[in-house]
Amino acid sequence: MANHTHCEHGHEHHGHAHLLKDHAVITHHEGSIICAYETVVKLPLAQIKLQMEMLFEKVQDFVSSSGGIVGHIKAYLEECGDGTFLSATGGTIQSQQIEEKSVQIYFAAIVFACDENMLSREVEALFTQFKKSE
Amino acid sequence: MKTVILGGFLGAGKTTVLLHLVPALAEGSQSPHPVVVLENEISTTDVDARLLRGRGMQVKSLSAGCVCCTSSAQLSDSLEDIRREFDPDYLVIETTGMAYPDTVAAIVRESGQETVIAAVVDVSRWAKLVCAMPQFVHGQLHEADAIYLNKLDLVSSQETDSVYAEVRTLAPRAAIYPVSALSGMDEACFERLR
Repeated sequence: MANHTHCEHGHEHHGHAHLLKDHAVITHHEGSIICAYETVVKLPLAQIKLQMEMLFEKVQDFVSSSGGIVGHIKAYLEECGDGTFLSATGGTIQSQQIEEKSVQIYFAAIVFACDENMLSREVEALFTQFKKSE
Repeated sequence: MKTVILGGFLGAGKTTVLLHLVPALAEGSQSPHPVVVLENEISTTDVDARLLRGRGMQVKSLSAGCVCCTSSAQLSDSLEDIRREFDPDYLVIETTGMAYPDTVAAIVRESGQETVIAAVVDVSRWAKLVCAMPQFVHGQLHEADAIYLNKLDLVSSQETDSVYAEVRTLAPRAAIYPVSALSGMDEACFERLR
């Protein structure tokens, strides 16, 4: 759902409210371009942290080399998996172990004066390459 | 419910300051919910809210908009919801890095709540930012009650003194605390916000 509004400071805002997994979502706020990306990667957290640091460097280099300014790039890495499911219907209590570690990545880059389509393609390409090491 | 509005530019270290601020405000409270955080992000993905929840904080999230403008109606609704659901001693609103804290404070005061404004400044990027957006920087600081000059570890003491002097002229009534939030913050830094 697109929206486009003004506020009392004269800010202009427009963008899309929905976030799709494995797709870069671009929105705008008062001259900034916001690129959000969410994905799940099945690699150890420590390895993902290192790869994310390299991804951050590449995004920063991309923004700088295209004449833009980095406002803030941030990500949260959340480990999930390794659960136990318990079930009962009046008799024996059954349990199942679920062992499938994965890491959910929440990424956002807020930049200025940068081509948003190129930024979007760059971020998607970097994450696609990243996921090839799974 | 006293409301602390935590502002400052993108990447200044607001969330890192908040990680110290929330336990300091909660200290000694008998309330089941001493502090609730309302996390506002302009991104569609709520990176900071997830970090705070991971630290065990009570967090409400408003993403993909700015509470000083596009999401101001949602802010009013959220204030009422938080008061009814938790009735905390303190609500901390972490604004987006593009927000004007005084505008957020005005919206909160309309609902009858007492407000204080804290602002975080990245001293290592001060010169660049003040050159590019002087009015915006002034707008983020001029009504602050407490200002944290953050990332001292990245600059010389002369640079810190210079930024301190400039910030003092922009915010004459604020308490100013030079800090390196990543390394820890003294509880005394938050006295002005209680």
